[in-house]
Amino acid sequence: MPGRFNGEGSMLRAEHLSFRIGPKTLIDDVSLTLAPGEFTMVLGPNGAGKSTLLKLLTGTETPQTGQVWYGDQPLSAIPLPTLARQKAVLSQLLSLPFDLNVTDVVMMGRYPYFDLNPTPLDKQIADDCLDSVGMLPFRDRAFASLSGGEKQKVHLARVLAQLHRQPGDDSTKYLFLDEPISALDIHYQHQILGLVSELATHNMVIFVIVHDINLALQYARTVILMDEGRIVGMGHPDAVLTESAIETVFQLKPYFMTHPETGRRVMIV
Amino acid sequence: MKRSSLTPGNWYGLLALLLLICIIAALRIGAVDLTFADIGQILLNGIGLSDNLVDPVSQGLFLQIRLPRVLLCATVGAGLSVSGVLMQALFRNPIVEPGLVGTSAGAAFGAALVFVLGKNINWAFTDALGLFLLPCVAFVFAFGATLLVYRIASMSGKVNVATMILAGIAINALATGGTGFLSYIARDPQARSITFWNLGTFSGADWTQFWLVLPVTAGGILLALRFTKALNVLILGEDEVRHLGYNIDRLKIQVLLLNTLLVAVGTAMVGVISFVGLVVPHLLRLSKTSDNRFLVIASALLGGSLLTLADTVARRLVAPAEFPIGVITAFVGAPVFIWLLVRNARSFQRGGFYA
Repeated sequence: MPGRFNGEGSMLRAEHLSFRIGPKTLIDDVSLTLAPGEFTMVLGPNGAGKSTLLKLLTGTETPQTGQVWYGDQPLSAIPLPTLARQKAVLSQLLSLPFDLNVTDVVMMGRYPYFDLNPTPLDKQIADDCLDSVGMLPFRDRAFASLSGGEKQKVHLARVLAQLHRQPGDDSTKYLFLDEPISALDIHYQHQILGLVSELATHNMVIFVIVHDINLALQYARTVILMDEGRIVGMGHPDAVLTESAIETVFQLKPYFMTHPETGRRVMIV
Repeated sequence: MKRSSLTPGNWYGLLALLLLICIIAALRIGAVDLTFADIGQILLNGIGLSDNLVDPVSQGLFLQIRLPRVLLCATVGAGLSVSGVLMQALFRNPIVEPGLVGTSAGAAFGAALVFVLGKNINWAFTDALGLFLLPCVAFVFAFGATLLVYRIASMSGKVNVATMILAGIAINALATGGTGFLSYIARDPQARSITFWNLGTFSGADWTQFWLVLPVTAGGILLALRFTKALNVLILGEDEVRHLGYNIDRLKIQVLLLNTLLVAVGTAMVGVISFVGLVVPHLLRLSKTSDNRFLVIASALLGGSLLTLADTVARRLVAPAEFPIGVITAFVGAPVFIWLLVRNARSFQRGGFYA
């Protein structure tokens, strides 16, 4: 299915973002433009500013200079309830002080859409999203009784439910995932990334932080390589993830090989 | 612990039934036990459907003392329990209750201030304004105390439990000291009422108190239901509240205000009753879920039931004298609290509960 592009009007843009805490500059003059349909993955060493950039792009933190635009609106001008129907964020693993059922957690993704009680449509969407991450059999379990990977999948189902379109809604959606597959086994890493890259084609801007360079080579349409609060490379994975760039950023000499079946580049160290 | 498979609807039904049974039992039992026939007759007389003769002493006792007392008791129990739910959600911690974070002690100090100094303000007790002065002053001090504890506890960005408990102890000590000072300088009858009142008592309950507390509590609980979605998201974390479309700073201040309203009005009338706000939500968390919507509705019903029960015990145990109800709730609540602490220490060492 071909991606639907609304052009300029639906891009995610950041202009000259800088963010400091005390004397430390976490993000240093970062600009970027992300179009719907491009599955963007962000890579970089620990402390490169990946999560901080995600926080600036989602409004969790406010940059000291620069501005973020969702389409033609500045982020700070969009009311929070409206924004909650356009944008969803999966943070790194969250621990809950109180125990809830799995369905309770997923249903939070539908909170922006109903007033006091979920509609049958909301319940259906919550179940569908649980199903898409393979967690439907766990729907009545206590969240605390799940493993780390299972919890991650439930949170993922929650943000998918949050961006699930109401009938007739074809506006651009913005999905931000901070290491969404860190606790998953290899089967689910590929299933989830396949699912997310398929979503990208449905008029969605997708920004995912990952650590696995081979997964980026396989799934990303655009790669952002970060180091020391700056973007050091942005574009097609093969153009950005070169031998010299990886050696500079990660201080590790990579070797590239060709996948015997797909012909895609794979990296070993 | 095995969780109940009953639906929330079933729970509400059962708890409403429990509340009804507790209220009926409380109406019947006391220093003077009434028969159901008497009660039915008095109620019928009361609404003018008949006017058969009943012992006028019983009728007066029932209509002027026991009925308002039991209804006030159920209302205050509901308010305190819902307040416990709100506080636990806001502090993201299951051991918080209004008595721990200064709300009750602040309200008590404010009320003692009116008791002792109010006599010098002539208008305070001579007109309708005086009736509202007590809950208003209690509210102001309760809110100040709670806000102070919350601010100190969350200075590092997220709520630090150790700091919260220490700040709560300090603010409680300050407020209790203040109340003690006021009872020291007070002339004797006032002092006695303050002391009694620090342990909570429904012995002064009348219709005026009930009609003052009922609308505030009912309105407060309805309002609390509006916040349950946002409070559920707060279980995930403060950033998540924002991502799902709620303003976290506004949410905090609104919930703090609402909580103070629920506690202060009740406390101003009947004194400090501890542990209800802690125990009631907790029993429900353990047996069903921590979904705040369920907790608010179910806590209101269960809290009303348990406090009515406790008051019946307080009235009956040493009749015709009576225990302060705070003594009963403390005797029951403190062991439950300790049990919770032990249980938490055993099964939640990996964080979570204390996160």
